[in-house]
Amino acid sequence: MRHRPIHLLLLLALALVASTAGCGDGASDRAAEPAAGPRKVVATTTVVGDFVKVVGGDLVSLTTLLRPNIDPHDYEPSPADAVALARADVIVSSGAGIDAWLDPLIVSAEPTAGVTVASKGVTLRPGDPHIWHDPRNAKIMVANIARALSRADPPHAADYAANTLAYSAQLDALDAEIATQIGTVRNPRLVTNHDALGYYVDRYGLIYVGSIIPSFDSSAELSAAEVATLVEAIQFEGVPAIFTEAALPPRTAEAIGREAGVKVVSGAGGLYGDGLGPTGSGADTYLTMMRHNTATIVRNLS
Amino acid sequence: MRHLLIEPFEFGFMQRALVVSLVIGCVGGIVGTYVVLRRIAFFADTLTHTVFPGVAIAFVAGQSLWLGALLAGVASAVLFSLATTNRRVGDDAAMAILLTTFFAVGVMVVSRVHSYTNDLVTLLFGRILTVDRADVLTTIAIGVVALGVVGSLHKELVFRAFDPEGARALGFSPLALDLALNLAVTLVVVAALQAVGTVLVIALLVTPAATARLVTRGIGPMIVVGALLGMAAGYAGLIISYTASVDHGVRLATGATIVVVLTVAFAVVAGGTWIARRSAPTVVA
Amino acid sequence: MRMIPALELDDVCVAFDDVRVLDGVTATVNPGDSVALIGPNGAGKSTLLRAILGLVPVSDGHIRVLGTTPRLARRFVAYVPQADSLDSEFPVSVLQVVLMGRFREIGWFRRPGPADRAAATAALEQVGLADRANDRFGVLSGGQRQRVLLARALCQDAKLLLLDEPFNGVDSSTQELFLSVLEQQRAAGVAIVMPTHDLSVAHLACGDACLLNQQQYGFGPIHEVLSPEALRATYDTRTLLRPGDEVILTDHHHH
Repeated sequence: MRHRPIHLLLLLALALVASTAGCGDGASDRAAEPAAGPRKVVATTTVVGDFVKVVGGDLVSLTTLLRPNIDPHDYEPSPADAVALARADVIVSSGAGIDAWLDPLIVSAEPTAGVTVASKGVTLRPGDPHIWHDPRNAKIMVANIARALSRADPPHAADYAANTLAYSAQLDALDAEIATQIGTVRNPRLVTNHDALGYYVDRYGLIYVGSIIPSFDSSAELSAAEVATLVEAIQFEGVPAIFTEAALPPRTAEAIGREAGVKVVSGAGGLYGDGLGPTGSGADTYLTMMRHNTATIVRNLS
Repeated sequence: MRHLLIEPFEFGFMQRALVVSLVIGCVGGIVGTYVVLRRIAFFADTLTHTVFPGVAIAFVAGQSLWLGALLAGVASAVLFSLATTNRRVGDDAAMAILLTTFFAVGVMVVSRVHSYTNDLVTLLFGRILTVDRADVLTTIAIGVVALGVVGSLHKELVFRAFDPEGARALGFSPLALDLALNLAVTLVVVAALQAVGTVLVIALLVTPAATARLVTRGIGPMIVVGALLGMAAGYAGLIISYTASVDHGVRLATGATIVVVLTVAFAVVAGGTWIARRSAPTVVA
Repeated sequence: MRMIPALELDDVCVAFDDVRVLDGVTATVNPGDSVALIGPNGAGKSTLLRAILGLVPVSDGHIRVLGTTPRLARRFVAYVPQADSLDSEFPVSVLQVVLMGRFREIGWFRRPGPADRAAATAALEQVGLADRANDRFGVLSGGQRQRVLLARALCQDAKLLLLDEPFNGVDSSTQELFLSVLEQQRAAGVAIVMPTHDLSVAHLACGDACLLNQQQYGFGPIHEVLSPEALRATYDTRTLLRPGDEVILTDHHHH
């Protein structure tokens, strides 16, 4: 046993560490060159991504981290996401805690761009991050995004401002439209898959009976007692239908629906609580998503 | 080629991932040599799973995950050694029960936290993209300790593997040696938590050494080849996972990719040596 | 000068799970003595060796090795197992195996040094295998491997040598070698205890014999102890008549 192979390997490993540690941050290789061409923007959620597209148009090259119908809590970071963050000129997050899962990745990618939090300035419901379901909040988010884009790309500030103005008008129109439609519902009592529509309920005066998942995140489960209470409430309040989200498995909702004897609105025809629908679903932009939700609610509760 | 092999490591997160992969590949290959020589791969597998509940508890308690994992690793090694030293090797059923029970306990613990699935996946399968500088240094430190343990007891561990009765007769306590090796194994599990998680770490321990065994004569070369294989797989797995994601939009979990690389290497080498043996049956080993 | 016996067995009993596998074994072995343990398979000969090594506990009576307990005497007790009990695929060289005999001397953590390697090489020369030092242990023949294990024991500078059936299946030159090495060891004051099936070799190698089949059927000078009656009592008649039993068939084979 003349060799000490283990010790040699230790030295090798340490040498390797020393050399890579001395490489410095990757950021130095990508020193800020003022790029021509579209600004690289990374958005965390589909909703924020849509807003970025609206404000930026062809001036931005957008990467959205979350896919439609993927539960944010199931998000698994990929090298492509990290690279996109590292190279981004602007990073936009939704805020209020809904993209907390992405924070370690954002830290790890060491981006040169700072993170713009779209929810800045929005009045929050305690613990509820689904702020965009109130179009007034959407306006605030869009304004924040426009500001960030203008900072990163001053020559085009005017374009961003113009796009924002136009879109804000559409958001106002959407707001009025939903208010009218909800107004036609006799019994606006809402039971949903999880408490994603709090801002919508508040804005349009719906009555929230309860949710099948008793928290703001989608992986929790109801206890037997809670299920019984919910079923009772559904029957007592005379709720004609309960709603699930397209992104979440409808089994629990279906079970409760059977138990309570009411219709379950699920699948692609259900509601979009956590984000936008996939391309071609009829709910792949913010405006179409909100209109889809409204139409679905109105149709089933009338 | 440069694009494939070098460019990914211009990013800090890839550099850190690389260092971690290389360290655990190297340490796993070396510690695994003793596991393979002692023929305790199944025991080692059970042992790696007993670390999981301790890590789960540390995670849920919100304390430093490293510290909790280390405590869990040491506790597992001690309890496991006391329970299994001097038992007959055929105690498969007991081991299987132990393995599944600990695993279930760990899942139960983690599931008490709302929205636990994501965290569970991280603990079980690792998440190498989010290691920070402190994680890298801690991984190296743990790796160095694990190597120190087996390196300082090399002759004793080999003796026990080759001639357990003889070793015992000469006064080398089987419990002490088993404890040392089990401790080294759990240290590898802790070090590899972020890269591959608890489910797959056994591959890092067994496959490089088993492959090295096929192509080397003598233990020194086996250790060296095992370490090199482990490191090569760490590097390759990382590159493949990166390229698949960035260039092709395909998601391949890094930890699992490393394990697949190791398995393919083993299959190739095993097939190659089998063919060589068939065509030259009189080769003296 | 009073000689400390190499080994004292005083009414030794060993039991596993309340089953007595050895009962009432009594013997004294002095330095330079050589004792053959004779008995059928399953008689407890290997168990007795393990008890002397402190590997199994004694449930009654006591064992004193070199004046002290088996555990404390380990440094001076060398064990030569049967070569077939070791894995021949294991990637270890002949020299590395022999070096293992020095490990007690070297102690924990430290690596073998030049003095250890020299001692190992010398031991290999004694058994005529110095030229095979770097070959893998498993490629040697059965007899050669047995010699390597003997060399390992010689390295240890022991005062008591335990050899488990050392002549089992070995070729005649190995047998010659073993006999001569054991002779030298005895002359140097080393005591030897040796389970064996082969009565003729027992006569050649050993001065004393202990007849064992769970209990002791005799102990003393080999010519006195190995009488036909004693042998018949040790091996019961069923064993005597079993065809192919080497011991009984070579019963009348004299040196």
